[in-house]
Amino acid sequence: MNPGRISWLGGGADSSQRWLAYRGDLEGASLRLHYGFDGWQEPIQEVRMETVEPGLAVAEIDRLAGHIALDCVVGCGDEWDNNGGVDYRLWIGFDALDAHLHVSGGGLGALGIRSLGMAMASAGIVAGVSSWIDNRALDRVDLIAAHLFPLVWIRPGGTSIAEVKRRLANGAVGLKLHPTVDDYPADDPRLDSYMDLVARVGCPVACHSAPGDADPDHIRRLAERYPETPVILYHTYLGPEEGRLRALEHALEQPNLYLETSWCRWQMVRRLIDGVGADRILFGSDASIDGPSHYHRQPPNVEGFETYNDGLLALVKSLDRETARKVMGDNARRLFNLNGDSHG
Amino acid sequence: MSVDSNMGSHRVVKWFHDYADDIEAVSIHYVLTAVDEAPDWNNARATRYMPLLDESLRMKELRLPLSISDSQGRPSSRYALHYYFEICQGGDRHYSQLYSEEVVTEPKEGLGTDVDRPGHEAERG
Repeated sequence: MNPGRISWLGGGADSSQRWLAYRGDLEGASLRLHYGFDGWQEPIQEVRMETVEPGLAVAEIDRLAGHIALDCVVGCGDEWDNNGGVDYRLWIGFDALDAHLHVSGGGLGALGIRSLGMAMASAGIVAGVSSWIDNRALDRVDLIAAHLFPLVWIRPGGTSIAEVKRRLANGAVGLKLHPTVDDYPADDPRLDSYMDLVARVGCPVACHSAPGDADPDHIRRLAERYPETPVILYHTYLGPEEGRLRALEHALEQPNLYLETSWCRWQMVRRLIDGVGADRILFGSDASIDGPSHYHRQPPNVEGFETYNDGLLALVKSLDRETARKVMGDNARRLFNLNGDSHG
Repeated sequence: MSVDSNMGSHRVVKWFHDYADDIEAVSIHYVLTAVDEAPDWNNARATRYMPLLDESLRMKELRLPLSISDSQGRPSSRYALHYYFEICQGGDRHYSQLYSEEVVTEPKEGLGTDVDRPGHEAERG
């Protein structure tokens, strides 16, 4: 069975009762939604789904107040659509946007668009910012249908300015730098021509951060040269805590630095929010590097201790609604000049 | 393989020939060790993307150190390079076999450059 799609219908993010839509293969008189709140907490409930037209069914969910997420599968008789075994999630009160995704093309493997779609649906991610090490791969994917906003991967000296201009004009929302795998320091002067361009266009730069050439010290120097351009530290340092805290210090002193949270445990994300403020933190996950189960893989893939889905529940519970909305999507929407906010 | 002295580092050139149309990326993972030591992939691995030179031929110049410490902690200009390729194809990741070769970084005056034939590793993989 092909995985379906679950979404809220209409606005009203703050209401205690909303309509939910299922678009998928299952249909029939016994179509029902099997659901629980906040990570399948008891009591698990079921509600009958009403078929509106072939491939589209709806259900009204009430008693949303006091909850932050709905986890669900769809059943019909003995058949189940459980999103390929990873279930579906919807956030209550905002639509989450993942600021750090990867898709390698249309292939069926873990890095392909189908796998990413399943992973996103399992975590309530409605859209995301995506890149791939070879820009041409994204040309082979229907990014609009997948709700993905591409970045232009920059390889200094290898990526032409003409290509960057063309891709930005055709929908790319920023640049992606990966100094580690592309073997250059993040403050390499060869980046200046690209940085000059995005300074004129007004879009951000996302940079892998990690020990070595991608160290936050290098990235800060790049940000200092272009103070009007938002520079996002992907991973907020993929390495020991010392580097994460050093990245935080840089962000405190350099106002155009932003911190993205992939592979950070939720307590660290909370520490970053408390340290530099909610406006400078972007949720990201690096999905779907680990395939369809990226957000709740077992054994846990976030530093070996927690899954994204569990960590996000704890994080969002610990935040006020406005802060959660910023971190889980609105900051990325603002920085990347995407449409609107997450809770229209 | 070609090894040249150059500005305090040594250059090792690796080639990869895309053997299918749906290859989406190729990276080389490598570790340096003293000769006859086993690589510690978890703690010492470096990863570099292999960019395309044309439609199907990839090349990466690895800048390696002039020397590394041997098992007694003495600097040695002879060491081992262990490497493999990670190939993203059709959304999946595949890995080549593991290769190991000795690197000698002392100047080799009068010797010609020994460069792998394009596609060498891919053919072996």
